Amino acid sequence: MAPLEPYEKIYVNPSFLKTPHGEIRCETCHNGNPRDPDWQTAHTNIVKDPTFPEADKSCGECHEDIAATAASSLHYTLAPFSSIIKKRANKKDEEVFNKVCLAKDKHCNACHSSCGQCHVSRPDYAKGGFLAGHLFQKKPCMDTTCSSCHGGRVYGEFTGLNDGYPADVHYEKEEMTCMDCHTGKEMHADATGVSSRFDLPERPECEKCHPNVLSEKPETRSHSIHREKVACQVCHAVANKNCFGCHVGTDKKGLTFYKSGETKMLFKIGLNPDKTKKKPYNYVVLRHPPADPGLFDFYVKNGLTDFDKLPTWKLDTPHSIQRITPQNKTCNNCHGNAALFLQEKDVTGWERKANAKVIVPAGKIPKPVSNH
Amino acid sequence: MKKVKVLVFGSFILSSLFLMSLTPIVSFARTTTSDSECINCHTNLKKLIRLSWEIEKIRPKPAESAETSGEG
Repeated sequence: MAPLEPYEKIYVNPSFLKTPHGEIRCETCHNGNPRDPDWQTAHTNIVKDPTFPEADKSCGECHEDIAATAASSLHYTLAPFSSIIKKRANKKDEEVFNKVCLAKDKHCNACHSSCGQCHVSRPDYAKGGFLAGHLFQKKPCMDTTCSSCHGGRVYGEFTGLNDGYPADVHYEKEEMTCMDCHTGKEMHADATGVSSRFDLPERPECEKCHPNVLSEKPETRSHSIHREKVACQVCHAVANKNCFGCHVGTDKKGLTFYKSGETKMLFKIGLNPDKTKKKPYNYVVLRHPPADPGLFDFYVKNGLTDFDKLPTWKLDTPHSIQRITPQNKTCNNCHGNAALFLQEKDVTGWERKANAKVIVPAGKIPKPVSNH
Repeated sequence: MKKVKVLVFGSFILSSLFLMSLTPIVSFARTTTSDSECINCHTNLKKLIRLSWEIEKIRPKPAESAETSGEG
């Protein structure tokens, strides 16, 4: 996504002034002095994003219900990041633990969002700038808003940017956007105590649009056989992007940096480590995120001593859905095809313990179907 | 015929008076807009382009670390 020119970032379209938000005086939300002709002094104490960290005092004035929960939503707080890093952190040494938390805040929390950074401007992580001359966007454009932060993996999969891999059928054939599944209800949902985005009750569910698939009498035989045994993506997703290794730090100029390792397009099926009523499946699709025990080594050695408390191959819902995929063309494209399943040989030594619950042992790889 | 003429003339006078009564409201809105330096500046593309050159001289664009590598 091309960055905006500096003037484009701050140009207010005059039509904005005719909208309900445009009727509010600038200084009510942004502070500053509207009568000062000197731009430098006029911007004293200016508030660039009035919607963070106090959404209730800006948006909440009129949108009380939404602001109340949006301020504790996944995008606003990135709460699962904290809970995952805390689980992996060295909690025995308080000094080390505090350094891990500082590094997390400096690097991981940089890509949170706010009401304004979805509905008015691009997120700070993408260097900001108005989406449409300060006109509020009820449904932001996925190409400028969602892709700002999700451009590395999900957006590319969904829109077919990975060479040799098709775009998601929902995008390609139905011209759906992120917001067609990830509704405002989900975006603004309270995520207090949620340790994974998959635990959010408001998350998208395939059966909302495809109710027959999980019904008692599905139309297709394969759905009646596999119903509730495998996640939808196991049959209907193609490869996802996996990242291996990430280290963060600060350079001599004080600028933060990251160094991430190689990326690979892979398709790996694993055991479901966390079966619930909503996710009863035996098999799920996995992805290797840019997780590394040396992530914060620049700031503190041995900061993530409990790294193996969580798998490094994580539950994933690839956004590369197809009706026909290489693994579902015939029964035996999957049954007996060990290469599709995450095995012990696929993980490096230090990851074996961490991934014990998701690695598929030889005995659990479905056997070939003989009469096919 | 005379009655029609009076009616037309009367309607013209009344609608003119009505339109005149709206004029102060329009000018009030304009005054409010021009009162705000924020609006005067942020809705003027030419001014913003000139200012962005000025700002860049004082505050260069925040650089990105040359040490960053790989996909984010």
